[in-house]
Amino acid sequence: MTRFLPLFLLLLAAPAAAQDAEEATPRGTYLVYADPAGSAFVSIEETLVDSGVWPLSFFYFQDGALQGTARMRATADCAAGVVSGTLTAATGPGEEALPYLENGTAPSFGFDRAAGGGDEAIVAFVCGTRQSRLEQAQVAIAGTPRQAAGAYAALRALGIDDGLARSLAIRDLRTAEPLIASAVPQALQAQVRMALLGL
Amino acid sequence: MRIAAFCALALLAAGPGAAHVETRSFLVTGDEEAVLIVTLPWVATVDWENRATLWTAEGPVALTYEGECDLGFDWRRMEREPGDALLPPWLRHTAGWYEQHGHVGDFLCGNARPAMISRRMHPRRVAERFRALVAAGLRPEPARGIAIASDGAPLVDALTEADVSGALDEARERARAIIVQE
Repeated sequence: MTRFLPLFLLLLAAPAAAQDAEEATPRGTYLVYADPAGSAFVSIEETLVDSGVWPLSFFYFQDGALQGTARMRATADCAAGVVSGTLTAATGPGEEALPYLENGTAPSFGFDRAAGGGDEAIVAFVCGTRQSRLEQAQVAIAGTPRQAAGAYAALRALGIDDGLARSLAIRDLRTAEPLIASAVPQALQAQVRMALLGL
Repeated sequence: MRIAAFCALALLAAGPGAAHVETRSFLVTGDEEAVLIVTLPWVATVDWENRATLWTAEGPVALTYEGECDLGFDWRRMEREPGDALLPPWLRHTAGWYEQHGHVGDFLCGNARPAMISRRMHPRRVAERFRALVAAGLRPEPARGIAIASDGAPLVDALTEADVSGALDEARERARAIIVQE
């Protein structure tokens, strides 16, 4: 029971902590969750943070191939552990725009901390502190979300483990090179470089 | 005598090219006419000359600046001709802590969230994008973040009424067209 107490206190403190941290988290787009089926990104932009608006981007994959993308405009209720997003764009496998309005209204989605996985990761990042955000996502991605999502999927398909694949996918080839040279088996290094170049 | 590995590597790196200083550039602020991009060294160096570039429709203007955080900064065109009067009014003198603190002072004195320009993006492209976004009705602050973003679409989707000077939907459409046409 006692082991959950710190988490409980953290949840109580979350709204205030998030407000303080928003002053200092560097602007940019962060990879907050990834698995072979898809990845989720949250963008931090000063005026939007001030307005309590969080841009979200999603990329979905099957067998390493892109199946679709979605963008949302989200708001957070950190005390409740929920982020609510409204769809603003969606594309299919060929990156063609998909109609997404239902009776003229954009559908809404809820991400609940209690659901675990990607939901939990999105809430943790949006409601986190600068420190917790950087621990979760390391650094703002170097390229586009599309490039980082594609690189992550390709790296996982090569057998690179989750943590290393995330670290490599968010960097450009130049800053990823020391990591490739030291952490990727020699036989895979060329393929990893190709994956980071999107080839 | 043993030399620490880090020092040995630094010695190896020294040579004809050692004077080269790695830099990074930041989009500080601007308007429809001109955009200020400041270049700083990655590692503090004593002989660094304060450098910046003002990007206008006619192209880049090299600038230097002097001052301190208490009193503000004075800006000069490096070539001095045809004169400092050609600098935009908001850049002839930028305020320090003792005056009304402005955006440029906030950046130089470490208080503002920096907008670093990726190595993948040329400052000219970033400056042109910023000027176009401001002309499209975005206020400078969201325009700054969108101009440096590798994919500004999620940011444009998330714009609010407070981020634009006119109608939100029209500003979003114009902003999308600007970031897509590249």
